[in-house]
Amino acid sequence: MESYEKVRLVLMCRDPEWLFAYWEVSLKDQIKLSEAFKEGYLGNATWALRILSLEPENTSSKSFFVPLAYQERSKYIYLPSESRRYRVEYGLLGQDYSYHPLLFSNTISLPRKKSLLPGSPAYVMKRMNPAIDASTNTNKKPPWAFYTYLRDQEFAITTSWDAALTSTAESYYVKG
Amino acid sequence: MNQGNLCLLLHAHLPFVVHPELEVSIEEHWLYEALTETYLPLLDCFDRLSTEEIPFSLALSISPTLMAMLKMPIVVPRYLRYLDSRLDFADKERIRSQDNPELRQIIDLTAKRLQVARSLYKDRYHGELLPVFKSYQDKGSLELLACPATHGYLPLLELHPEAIYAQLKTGIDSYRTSFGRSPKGMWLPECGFTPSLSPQLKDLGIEYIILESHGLINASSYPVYGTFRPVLLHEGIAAFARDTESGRQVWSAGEGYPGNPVYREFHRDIIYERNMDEASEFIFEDGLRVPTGFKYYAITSKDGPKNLYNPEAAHKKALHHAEDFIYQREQQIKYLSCKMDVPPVLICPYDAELFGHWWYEGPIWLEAVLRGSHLRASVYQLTTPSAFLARKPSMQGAVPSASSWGKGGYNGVWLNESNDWIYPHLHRGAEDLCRLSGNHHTYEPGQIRALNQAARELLLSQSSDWPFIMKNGAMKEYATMRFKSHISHLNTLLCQVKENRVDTGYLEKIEALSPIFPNIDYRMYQSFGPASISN
Repeated sequence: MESYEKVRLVLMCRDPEWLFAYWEVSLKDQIKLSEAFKEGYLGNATWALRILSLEPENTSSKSFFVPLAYQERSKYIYLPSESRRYRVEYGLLGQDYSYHPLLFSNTISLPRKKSLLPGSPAYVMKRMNPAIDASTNTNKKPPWAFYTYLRDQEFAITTSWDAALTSTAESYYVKG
Repeated sequence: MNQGNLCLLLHAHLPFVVHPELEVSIEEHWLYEALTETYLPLLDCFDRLSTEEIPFSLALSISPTLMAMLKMPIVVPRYLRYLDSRLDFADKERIRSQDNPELRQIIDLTAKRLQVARSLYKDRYHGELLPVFKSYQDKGSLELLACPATHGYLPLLELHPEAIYAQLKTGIDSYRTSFGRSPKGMWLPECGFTPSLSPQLKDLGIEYIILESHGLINASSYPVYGTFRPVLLHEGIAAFARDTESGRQVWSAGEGYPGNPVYREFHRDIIYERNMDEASEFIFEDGLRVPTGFKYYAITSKDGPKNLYNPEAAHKKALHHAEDFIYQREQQIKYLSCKMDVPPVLICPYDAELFGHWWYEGPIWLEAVLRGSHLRASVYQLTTPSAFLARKPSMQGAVPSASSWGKGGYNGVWLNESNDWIYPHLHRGAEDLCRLSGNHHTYEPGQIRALNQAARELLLSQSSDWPFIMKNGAMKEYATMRFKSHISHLNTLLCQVKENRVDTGYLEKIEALSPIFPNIDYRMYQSFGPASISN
């Protein structure tokens, strides 16, 4: 199918460890950039994606580059860290590591790949009816025995349960 | 008093595969196979339980594309023709197997099921199944969930909230038209969830959703009752999660009930052992073979020769497996209820087509589970999600994690090297339709009609089935053709609208190809902030 001849860079989540980015650069822009490249304006620059992991306030904290071939129009990107929010830039990376971004992606949030530690024994119980919620929205001690049951694995607990519980069970024992 | 709750939930879905323009379409047979093997037996089961005054409780989602196909007048004669051709084939097979009584028994059984399906469809239900499902919902035995318009995989449409809104809104409108009320639950295709869906679900009046287990396990706060109680999202929507233990017993290819050696082998349709003289009506000139539904072998083993199917042994095994399922749930609920300070609820969602189509003996199992659960109600009670929520249970507040029930648990089935090329087209289509739907535009009637058809084409192109089939190989060409065709129609129509030169002949032609969502309104693609959505 034909390209749409417009400019855009889109970032998508495949799973907690992999991003997918695709980009569309118009023919006009490609020619313009190629000419700039030929004239040596950017020296021996190479096309690259810059992957930015973001803090909650959307400020860039860390980034790394993924070099691209000229014709590439999409890329799967493996994430070395466990940040949750990312955005990507598409541009030219010079030999002096100067970066000239041309396209900017949307920002995406990644899912967790494992469960959170309970952290605090307090949790909030709610009801769908806010009127009832107001009277019962109290912190309540979790039923620790329940976790012990899970730890015992008296049932054939499936892999996902095992995975979810492995990192948390010791904490429960300490607290329980 | 019972100690816990069990919710069986079936999800019935097929992509829109009726081709009015073709005399014969193999993909259209997916509908007829599912009618014969799953949907009609399911209603027949409800009728039997109802006649015997055995109370049952079941949740069921029917996708809008399936609903649309079940309503199409053209489907009635075509389905009857489908059945008749197979009944004729049964006569030929009987002659061929006259010296083999065991084989003859299998043929007779298959033919009997075809005749029962014909009688149910034509004489009992008069070609209209949706009113029957509605009647069971009205009686309180069945709870019907809504489903997005074309089974779009919503987490990957996130770039344009309008596209998600259109999927949800059109799905809810289809539900209201068919069932005369608003849905309480929304089945998220492939259990695909991402937190950004919640405000839209809330604004459209949805009260609960079903997630894959790790969607809850990996939530923003650890769910203290695991998957055995729903959590409450900030928006006030309850999120239930699939119980992995009961899921594995039915779903697992290796350990699950459907893989038992005595059950009928799905992949050995007899058409692949017949020549042109024996089955000319099922073999095209180019060699393409159309499944007949006649399957004579048992699963037996993964490799090696297959035993002849033994219907009595398979029936007995299905009843035994139903008893085992009930026993396992009883044990699970007894234990959980000792350890939890609130009654557990086990959510057991399955594809409806598993029962009968993929797992031939599945309807026997399902009916036995419904009957047995009634008799053993002292340990658990069959329930539905909204019946459970009607008791106003306390729920932990949490934001579930993005998740799906596809392989890997996230978006990888619908976004990988085999199908990622579709997303630029889907995103561009949504963006263009949103732009043209802006309320500052004034259109002539022809342009409005074209925009409405463009909305249908975009919805149809978003079906999760196309990238799924592209990844899994079989029928890949069909999925690719369908996707390209919808995108091509969409782009052509949008171009015609922009240039105000709508080709009525072209429009009529493609409207006839997809007679779905008759009341669609392209203005649902108008840009909005979540807070401005009105129901």
